[in-house]
Amino acid sequence: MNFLTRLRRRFMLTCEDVNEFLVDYFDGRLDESMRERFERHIDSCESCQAFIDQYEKTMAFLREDRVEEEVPEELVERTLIFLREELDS
Amino acid sequence: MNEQAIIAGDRKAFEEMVREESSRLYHVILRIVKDKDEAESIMQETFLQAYKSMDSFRGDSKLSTWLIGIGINLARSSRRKTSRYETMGEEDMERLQPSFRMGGYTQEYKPWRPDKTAEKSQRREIIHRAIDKLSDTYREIIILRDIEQLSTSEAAEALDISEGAARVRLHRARQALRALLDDYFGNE
Repeated sequence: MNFLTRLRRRFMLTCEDVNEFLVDYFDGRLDESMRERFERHIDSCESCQAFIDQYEKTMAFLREDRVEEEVPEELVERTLIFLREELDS
Repeated sequence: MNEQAIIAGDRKAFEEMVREESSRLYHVILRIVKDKDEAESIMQETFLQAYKSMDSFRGDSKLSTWLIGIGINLARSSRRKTSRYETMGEEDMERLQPSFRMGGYTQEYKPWRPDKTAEKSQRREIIHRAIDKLSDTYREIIILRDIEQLSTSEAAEALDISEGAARVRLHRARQALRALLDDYFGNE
């Protein structure tokens, strides 16, 4: 990143900057001053609002796809038998 | 889980880890190979390989994360051998990224239609199809970070890449998936 980009980002962010920081934003890694500039941009930018709405929904749909239940006990037992046979042979 | 005992080669402690880690490991592998028997076989092989190569565990990640890394490598090889799935290449992934002009998006985006995103079972089917289209590296980071909810640094460790590279890959993978889902959820 060059000096002018760094300087500009201290005062204002573009949609491209906001896009670049999305992972850090959702991971809670932006410092307070950057997060304020990030959120200020979003508040006044319909394009970013719509894009982030889709990005966030994508993340939410993936999160709810997680399988919470444990695998059957028989599967674990078969694995243990397999390991004992392999390691004791 | 007693990591020290496992690393020292204690079989009982290792079997305890098998009981604790089987579910997550199996689900990660199954999402890649898409076949229950194959997933079980790869999970068994993963534990065996982990036990035999415990000496190579560097200890700079959690043992469970290291285990997932072994499972992912074996599952990836299996998926490539069977090549039953048509996945997109890096060029396709590039086309699914948003483009910018003078710092702004070149395309107009609209929130997704609520009636299209409402039905959960149908949505799940659409999402699975979209994940299957992703290139291997993108699919893997999505599975670890966004589905299994590992932290970004744990996902990086499992994939043996730097955390910075994992963040870039995750962002591009989410954006590719967003674009694929937009074809369905965004249609008027």
